[in-house]
Amino acid sequence: MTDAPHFTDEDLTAFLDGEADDALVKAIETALGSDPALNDRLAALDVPMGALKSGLDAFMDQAPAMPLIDVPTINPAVEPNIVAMAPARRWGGLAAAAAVVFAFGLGAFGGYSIDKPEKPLTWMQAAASYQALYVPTTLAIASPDAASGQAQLANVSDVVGQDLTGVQAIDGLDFKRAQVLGYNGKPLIQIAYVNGAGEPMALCVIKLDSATEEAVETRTMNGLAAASWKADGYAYLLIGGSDQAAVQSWAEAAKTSI
Amino acid sequence: MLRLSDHEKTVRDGLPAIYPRLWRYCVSLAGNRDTGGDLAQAAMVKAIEKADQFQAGTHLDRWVFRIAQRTWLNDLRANAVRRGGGLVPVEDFDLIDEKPSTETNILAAEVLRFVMALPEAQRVSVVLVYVEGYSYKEAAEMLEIPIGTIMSRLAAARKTIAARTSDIEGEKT
Repeated sequence: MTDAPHFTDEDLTAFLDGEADDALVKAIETALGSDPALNDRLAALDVPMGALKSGLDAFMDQAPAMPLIDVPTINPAVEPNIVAMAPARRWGGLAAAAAVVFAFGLGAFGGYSIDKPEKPLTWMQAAASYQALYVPTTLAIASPDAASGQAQLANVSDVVGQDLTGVQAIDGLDFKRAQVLGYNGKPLIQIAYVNGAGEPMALCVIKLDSATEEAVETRTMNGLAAASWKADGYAYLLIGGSDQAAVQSWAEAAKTSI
Repeated sequence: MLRLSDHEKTVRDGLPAIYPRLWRYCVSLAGNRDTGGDLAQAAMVKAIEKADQFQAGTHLDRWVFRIAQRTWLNDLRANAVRRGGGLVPVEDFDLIDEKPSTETNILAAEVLRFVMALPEAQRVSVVLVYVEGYSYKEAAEMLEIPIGTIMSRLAAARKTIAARTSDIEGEKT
């Protein structure tokens, strides 16, 4: 080796990147004046990173539309299939519930006007849009033991005024988390599960203004299998995965256990 | 009435501006668009859920990038590799617009292909430092590794790219 062996590739890289300290810069510059091999090494490392940056900047233009809307407050202009739902902070009782809002075009209050006469999302469409953002990893970390799961369910039951503690054990669904979201100023309970295929599922519950009763009805929302029903003044939506029959049977099981 | 916390509002308001960069970073972490898109979504959901941990006045982009990095390592990476999602980067990539065939674009497309073929650790370091423009120190903090490791990765990446682009380099001179 005739080049300067005391300069590592890391040294030369730092030199090229302007990250070398003054002493190293000086040493390399001095050696470059008399060491052709070092010049060759430096030239070999000097790949066109500017071109790379241009290429990747152009790539950024291909980014899809951001799936979460940036309007967090009341009564925004709601585009179809875009949801402005804020997940609750890690469950911490009523304070967490109060910290959450779900903004949505249906409400008549708030100072924002609706720019376009879009048909407003129903609470189920909003919940479905939100659920569509879930990927298996979203719930990968949550694994409450039976007691803390019951505590979470007891808390959300208090918030919404309906006993939901029975839905922790639904055959075929692994309970992950119960939390309070907000919808149009009202608490919207989201109980998250993972099914046997590892797909995220959610049972969403909201209090109705009237005591309508509706049997379990299946549908597809945002590409997800879904089943909804109404009972005792509450509306329910179980959504996730693609197995419509399984979702229906889980919905029936949930309905029975509430 | 229910209200957003200030932290959550800050995070939610800041996300749209950084989303294209977050998406690009996640694609470079995952090595393909589909998994990268999933990762970007998961990172945003986590950022909103953890909004109370964000310190106002600090850099939201770095914080969210770090969430993406952790999410990738802790949750998504194993699944992606098992599915082969992290192993077929180049074929999946239609990175550059085909239309303007300027010399710069051709060169960029070539270099880009090589970068996406780099090992994940080198690729991510390259994107943070050379594309995002973070300093070694900032990149090291985001990846939660020593600065020396960043330097080694970048040096190794430069050598690999240089070896593979020797013909392009030849055209340049």
